[in-house]
Amino acid sequence: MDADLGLAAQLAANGLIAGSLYALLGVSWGMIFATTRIFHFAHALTLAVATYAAVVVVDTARLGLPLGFVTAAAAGCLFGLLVEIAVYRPLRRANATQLNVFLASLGFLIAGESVLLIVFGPEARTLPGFPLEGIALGPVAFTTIEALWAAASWALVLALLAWLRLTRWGRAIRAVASNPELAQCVGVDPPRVFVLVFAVGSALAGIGGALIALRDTASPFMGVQPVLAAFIAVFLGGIGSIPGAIVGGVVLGLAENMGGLLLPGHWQGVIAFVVLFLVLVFRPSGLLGAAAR
Amino acid sequence: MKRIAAAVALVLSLALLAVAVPSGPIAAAGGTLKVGMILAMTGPGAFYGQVMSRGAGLAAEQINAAGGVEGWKIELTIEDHKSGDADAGVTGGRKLMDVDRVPVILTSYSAPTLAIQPLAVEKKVLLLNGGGVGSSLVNKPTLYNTRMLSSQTAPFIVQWAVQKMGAKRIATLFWNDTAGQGVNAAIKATCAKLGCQVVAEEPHDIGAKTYSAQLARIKARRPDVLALGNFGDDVGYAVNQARALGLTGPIVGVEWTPNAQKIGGDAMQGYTIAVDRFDPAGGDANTKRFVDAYKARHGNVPEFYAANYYEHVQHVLRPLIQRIVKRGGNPAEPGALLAEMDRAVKEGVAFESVYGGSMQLGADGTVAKPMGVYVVKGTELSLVGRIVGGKIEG
Amino acid sequence: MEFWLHVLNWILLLSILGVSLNLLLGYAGLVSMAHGALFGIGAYAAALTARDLGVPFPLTVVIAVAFTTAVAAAVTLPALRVHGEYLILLTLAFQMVVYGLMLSWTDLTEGRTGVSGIPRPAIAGSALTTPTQFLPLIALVTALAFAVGWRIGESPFGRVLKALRDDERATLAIGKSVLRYKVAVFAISGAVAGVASALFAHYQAFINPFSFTLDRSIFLVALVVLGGTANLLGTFVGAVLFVGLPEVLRFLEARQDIVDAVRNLIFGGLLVLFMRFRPEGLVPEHSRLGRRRRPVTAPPDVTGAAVIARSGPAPDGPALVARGLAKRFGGIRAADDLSLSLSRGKVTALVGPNGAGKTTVFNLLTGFLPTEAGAISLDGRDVTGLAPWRAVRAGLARTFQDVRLFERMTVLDNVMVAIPDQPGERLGPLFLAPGRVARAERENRERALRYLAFVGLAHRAGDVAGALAFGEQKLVALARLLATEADVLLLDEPASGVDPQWVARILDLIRQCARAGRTVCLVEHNLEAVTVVADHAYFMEAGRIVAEGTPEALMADARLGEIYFGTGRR
Repeated sequence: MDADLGLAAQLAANGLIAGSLYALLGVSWGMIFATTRIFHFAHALTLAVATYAAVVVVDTARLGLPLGFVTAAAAGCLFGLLVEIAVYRPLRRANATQLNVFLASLGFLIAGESVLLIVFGPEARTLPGFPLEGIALGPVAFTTIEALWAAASWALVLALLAWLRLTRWGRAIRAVASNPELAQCVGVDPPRVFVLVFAVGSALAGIGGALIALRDTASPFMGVQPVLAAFIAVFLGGIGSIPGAIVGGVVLGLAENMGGLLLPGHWQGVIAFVVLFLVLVFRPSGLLGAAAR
Repeated sequence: MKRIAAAVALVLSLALLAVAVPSGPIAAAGGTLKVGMILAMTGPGAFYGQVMSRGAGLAAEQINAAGGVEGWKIELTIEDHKSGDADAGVTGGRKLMDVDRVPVILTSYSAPTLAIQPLAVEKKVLLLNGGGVGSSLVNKPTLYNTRMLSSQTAPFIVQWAVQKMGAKRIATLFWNDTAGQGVNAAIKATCAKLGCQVVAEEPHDIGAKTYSAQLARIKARRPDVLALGNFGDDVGYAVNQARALGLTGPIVGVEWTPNAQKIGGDAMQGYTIAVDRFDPAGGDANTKRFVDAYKARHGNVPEFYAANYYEHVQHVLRPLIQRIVKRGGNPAEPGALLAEMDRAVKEGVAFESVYGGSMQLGADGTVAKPMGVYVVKGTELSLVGRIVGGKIEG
Repeated sequence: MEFWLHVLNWILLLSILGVSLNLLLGYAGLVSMAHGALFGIGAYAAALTARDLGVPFPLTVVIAVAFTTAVAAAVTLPALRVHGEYLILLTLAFQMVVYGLMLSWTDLTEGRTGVSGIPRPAIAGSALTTPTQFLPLIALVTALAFAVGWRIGESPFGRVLKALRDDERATLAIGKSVLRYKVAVFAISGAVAGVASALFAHYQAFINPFSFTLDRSIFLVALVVLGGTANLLGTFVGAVLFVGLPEVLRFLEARQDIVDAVRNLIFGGLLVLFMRFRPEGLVPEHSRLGRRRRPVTAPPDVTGAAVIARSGPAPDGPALVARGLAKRFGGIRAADDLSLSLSRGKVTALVGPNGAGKTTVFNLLTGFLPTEAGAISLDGRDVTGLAPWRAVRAGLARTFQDVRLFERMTVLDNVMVAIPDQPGERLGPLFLAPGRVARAERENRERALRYLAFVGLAHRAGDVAGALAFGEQKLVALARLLATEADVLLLDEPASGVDPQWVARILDLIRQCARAGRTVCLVEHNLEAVTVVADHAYFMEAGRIVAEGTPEALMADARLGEIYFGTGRR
């Protein structure tokens, strides 16, 4: 019995740690989707590119980890802007359908991953510089990197929430996410807001990628799984709701890991998608979401 | 406009097709012997494809520089199975067998190997596998594995754990496929004989980089020793996370690669394995020749995946070609290499091994190679026990 | 040579999957990211029953088809409730779940190791093993798949699918059950995929989950879209180019380690470029290639009145009676104890300020919104609570304020699709009674042309509906409405948003319909138009009917004027 409680506590801790990262990734994608309604699959490429930029700065040029994180944020931001301006904006002007935009995003992702593979080669690259030690709190153990994940994710997420709520630009973003036509009437310029959400969301994704690479190493395809988790977090929590993406991320992390109480570990990946499937079927508006436009 | 484009594309395709159609008869005596390879050149396993091709390539270079084998030069043709895609493996295999007419293919990964094995039977092509191995690759006609089954090596690590580490409670963490399950089964069987208890059995997805749920459950069962049944990079991730999660007991396994060492970092200290082990520091002449040449060519010390594929060309194919030529035959003839291999194995011929000493290939596709128990000290493996005649010495 | 035949077999197998997906994605507009998983389900079904249960070859195909059809139909049910990006994500989730099952349920599927030793098919005593031996079988099945796909796609059934793709709501409004068509097309798509998957399992004699990943699903979707949606020739061209051409590249002397990466780079780049510059794909939907294109000419003796005349004697009493309808949205009463009646052969108007609930009344009458109280009867029959498409079949149809034509279909198809009781819309007659279907098609074509002639647009029959001016689109919408042969026609703002010349034309047509015995009710803001055309009018405010009478009487009432224009002096 004792062992089971200890196990449950450990799994819950694992779940909260994973959930923090999912929350960060979820808001990074969710804010783009809520505002632009673009199914931005190429977000996975943003994450990978930004992470490689950090790897180059930290591992190759040896300029230190803090600069690596800054680079990841900057590289992510710029790359996200590139995708919006070079891919999505022309498509919008040409009145492309949703499926077409989705496929263009996928195509860009596939092409970009190939470029990364050709340039950097297939070996996994590490992002060194953060000591990996174990921390034990009673029956629960985790690593220093995982602690950083949780701390960094929550700090960024809360900062984003504050920014959205308190600043003018934040309010502009929420206005466009809620009702773009009306937002235009009160003087908000949607194209500018689009640029802003791509910049901020992609920067967050870049930081997320760098955090992941601290433990898991970087590879050209590293972005797909985290971004899939981001989708699930956003839809679980309810699109259009940033707090929803946060809740969704935490719930997803917990569900995936607590599932370990009942299911063998290799079913973990399936749990996430079963959750997504059930949410889409039974509660498409999500746990916290407003009704979809 | 678009019709013209389509027509151009069609013409281009046909032109290339004409170029690619194989020419007439196979090369006559003393010519070039084509050796096919189906490797993971892209995808998550691309690192392994790279080192395997380097190993075989080095052997081919050495042989050709010395004028070939009885006048036969070796030419390698590599196809990509994209880290385990059976369809790509089949198409690549067909290209090698139908278009390039190779008499032998060096394969890797069980799925593509299994997929092309029936074709190899039909076309009488010899298959040599030096990569991952599980029970599904045993007893398949034309397929010879030059890596020992984990079910052959795992019992020794259990023995070591029980006898040298005093383990009574063992937990296993293994790949969820025949290779990993084979390790698990072998560990359980050995424990039944030696009196230890397997207190947790945790399969995991291949390539999963996190095992938090499995390790949490393992920790809850308080094992003395954690036994790993995984391969490649996963070894590094698993050891790393096990230590970070607070598992302090010894960790043992059946595989170690330099890449896994890099990933595992300091946590890898004390990790102990029982393997058919390629020791780059070994003093055997064959080993030295390979290691020195590889270091000179590629700048780093080779590990056993590179070694196995070097061995295929240098120590398996070369003697086979020699035997055929001495008999007056043509090694490039379809089926000749395969027939010679079957014959040699039946006669119990011992092939030299780049691991040092010799290896015994069995008709069922298994192999017996020098084995040892090694432990990680610093960033390298160091030998702590030899396995001779089924017993651990040292 | 064997190698190239193998490549050809691969092209053919994937093109069958392409047909399966094109029916779903291209014709019906339902995006599925799960075709890789479906491919896998059929393959495992065939492989495991053949190897472990000894089921012989043709029967394994039947089993595979049964599985894939059942799974596809099952996915329809949740898929019905989601659209757009939700459907993409739902099918993506399904794909990942099935893939995870294939990998992890090792007791059944042997996981990664795969199922090997799948028995070869035996035809006329000898086993098929080589690509050369398999080619005739695969080619034959491919031809059949394309034939079936073509028959379905280019038929009245396919026409309804395209309508569904373009506008689901409008499809309901012309009397077609969206649910039935969606289930049918998912099932067919599953069945065709099942055939390909069984063939694949026997051909390769080895399957493992890696052949059925999300990448495969994405590839299939890209193949269909790049080849050309709703055009099966495009699917074949796409298969040749995207499956065949990379194999040719294999022969170029290149660094093996980046060949695949370069291929993917080209593939991804093509996707982006096509989506930007040629989203309709290589062989577009309306291309002359791959479609039977018949010249469209109006029949010589066209009399408008003939086509809209009612058949049979008109029963007594009002055509439509609604009593006590009610509907709330949160705290707002959109309809409150609302009763009205529409007289046969007369034009009735619903007027009132914005937000009075006029369109809501239409939605309630036609079943687009369920009424919370009251009853509706049509010619004495109770039609309360009928689904919109059933209401149309019963004789009650409507147009939309924003027209909602099927923009990617031709004008003629827009009208033809609305004609009821077409045998070609059911799969049974489509395949078993082709003569009857062809005859009905010819008759319906003439009928549709007559409706178009009535509204004066027969000369535009061959044009794509989206290219028409707004006024012309309104006329086509009217023709489409008439084609449903409903007795009671509800027109939502037929005269709004167009120049006066169009208004006059539309009003004239409405009057002709009424004179021919149809019952018309229209919602209209343009009060002059109302005066010209309506016999009777209801004035609505805040969900209630506050006055009724002739249009002149209502217009003369000052109190109503104040409500309408909001110039109430309090």
